[in-house]
Amino acid sequence: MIFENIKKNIYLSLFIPFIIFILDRTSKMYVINLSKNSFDNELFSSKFLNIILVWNEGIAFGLFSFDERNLYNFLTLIILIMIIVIFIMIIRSFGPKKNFLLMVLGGATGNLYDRVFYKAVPDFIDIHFENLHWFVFNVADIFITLGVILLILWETLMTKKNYEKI
Amino acid sequence: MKKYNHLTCLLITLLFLVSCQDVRKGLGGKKIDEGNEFLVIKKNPLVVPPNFNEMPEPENKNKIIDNGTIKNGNSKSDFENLIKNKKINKKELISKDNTSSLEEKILGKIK
Repeated sequence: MIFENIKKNIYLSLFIPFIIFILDRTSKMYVINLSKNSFDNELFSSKFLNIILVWNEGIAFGLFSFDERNLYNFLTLIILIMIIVIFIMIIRSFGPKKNFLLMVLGGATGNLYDRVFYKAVPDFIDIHFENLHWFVFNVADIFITLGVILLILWETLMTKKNYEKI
Repeated sequence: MKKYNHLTCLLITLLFLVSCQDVRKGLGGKKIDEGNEFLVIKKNPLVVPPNFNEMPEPENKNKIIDNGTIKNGNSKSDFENLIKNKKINKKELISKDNTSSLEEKILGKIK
């Protein structure tokens, strides 16, 4: 009975990262296929949103994006360790915190997949206002950022009293 | 204090897991390591070519290149001659046509 309950929980827990991963993959594949057919990297442009394919070999904000192969592999290893840590945290946590961590896990695996198979992460969403551009990001980034923001809010707003209530 | 440590850990996680990129790289196109060709190819100093004096001077407009030979003459008169010759040729053709009979003409066309 207990074993069955754990099994059911695992399936439910894996559903969120799986959906995020599939969403991320399909969007990336769609944009990469579009860019193969078009001459330019800029695939779509409007007043506030541009779709422009950029390959990121580093981490956030294009940091550490050098041609050094060893550094790239080292960063990938760190990311892999982080994902394992998040996975352990998910097993230990419960409630909304678990769901936020699952969101982060889904996005992180999506980006790790690209790092392993493409040796770079494709970014394509460029939100801008006239000439003010925000960094180009992808669907996985949205879920990671959202997950982390919600985690921070959860950590700050949840006092000991509230924890006791749960 | 523990809370702040937790937050920094979360922010570092965000930094590593998120992969956003500066837009300038995208707008500038894909940068491929092409190398600097000016460092590879040795530049020769600028010198006057040895056959520079043999080249035709741009001032001499009367020189017309016709069938690979250089002619001295007026371009206008040449043009007039050409038109006159054409007129003569046409006249000759018409006169020939008049002399030949209609039967011959048709036969010629059939052949």
